[in-house]
Amino acid sequence: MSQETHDSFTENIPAYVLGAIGWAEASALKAHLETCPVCQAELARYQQISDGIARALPLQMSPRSVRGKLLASLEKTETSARPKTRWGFRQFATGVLALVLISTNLIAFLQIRELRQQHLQLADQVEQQHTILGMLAASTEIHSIRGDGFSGHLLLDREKNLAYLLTWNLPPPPQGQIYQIWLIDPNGDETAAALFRPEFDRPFTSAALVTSRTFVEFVGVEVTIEPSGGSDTPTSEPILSVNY
Amino acid sequence: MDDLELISKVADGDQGAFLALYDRYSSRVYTLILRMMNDEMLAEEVLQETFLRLWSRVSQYIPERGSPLTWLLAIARRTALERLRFESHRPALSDGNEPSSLLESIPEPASTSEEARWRSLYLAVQSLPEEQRKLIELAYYQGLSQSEIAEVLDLPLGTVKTRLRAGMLRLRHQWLENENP
Repeated sequence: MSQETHDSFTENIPAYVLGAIGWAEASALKAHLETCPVCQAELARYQQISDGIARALPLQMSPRSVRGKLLASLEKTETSARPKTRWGFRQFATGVLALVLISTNLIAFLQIRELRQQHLQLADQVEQQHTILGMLAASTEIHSIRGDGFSGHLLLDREKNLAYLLTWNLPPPPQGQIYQIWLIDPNGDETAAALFRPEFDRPFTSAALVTSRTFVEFVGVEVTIEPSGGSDTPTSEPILSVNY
Repeated sequence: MDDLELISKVADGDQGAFLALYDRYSSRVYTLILRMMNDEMLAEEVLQETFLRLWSRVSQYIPERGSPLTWLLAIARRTALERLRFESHRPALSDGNEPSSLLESIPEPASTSEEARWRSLYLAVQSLPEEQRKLIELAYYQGLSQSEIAEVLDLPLGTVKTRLRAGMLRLRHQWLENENP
């Protein structure tokens, strides 16, 4: 990698820790960080500032009412998890009547809450989707992936020479290890394309594949679990593979 | 009981441990949320949602990636940003005018007191030139990207990138490197 490219990644780190760079740039920077100790150290410094900003504001007391509401929510959860008791007909009928009366409002409330939740989740993914959708031209191939407890897609645009691996519900790798993506050429030889870890707080993970060659020179993609920092060649069996 | 022990108990479904974490950190979390939402009622709702997410996602906590408070604040920020987007609610930027009593008690950056350490960072942020501070606030508290900031403030994207980077670099020199020269 050229010094110029490295410098452009380094310059992006302050904005990255503030969450102020676009998803595609962030994805490329994350891939670079996996292999660049200089940028990792830089990230650690700026991350301290970013984390600090969250803690640095003059303290405001939280409202007392929230604690009670949380407690009620937890008790409701616990109650719903208890084994069902055997009811007599009168108790059952009274319960049904009460449920009918309550459910009219409750269903509406839950539907609104569900819709709101869906809206929030969608809004959260808009930026990612903008980039991904940008790839979904007629020339983009979508290859489905299904593994043990997870699923995903490989998006490949041979014309633009872009490829992204999207996975859902991929578990974190064992401690001290990382997922590594390999491009497979027609001879079956592997070339490292990216390192990634599942996102900290969401089930959806994306990784941009990086190669100095063109994707048409390869015929497939594999993912293995490797020691942190990655390997020159795979040292474990693939957890997923897809031919394109 | 330390935070990690409490987190471990919460993962086992211990409501007492959950409430202990709430009592320990709810004000710190609420402070961040209130700054982001600039509305007490919304902030209250986001605070509740944040702790419910902690309860339901505690198994996803990875100690190597930060303290429980760091994780909790990350959840709070994400929850608040989602809510801001949903409400299209953009709180006003702070005006940078601080009570003189606070400014008079500026602690040394190298202070070992935890609260003094964070207050020192807060004051370092407040002492940034407005053109830099405003950009950091828009990015951090309102979740705007550099492109969005450029649009909102009607500035060239290159100017936004330069000012944001300069502001963060200044914080690094003023706060971080004074602590760890």
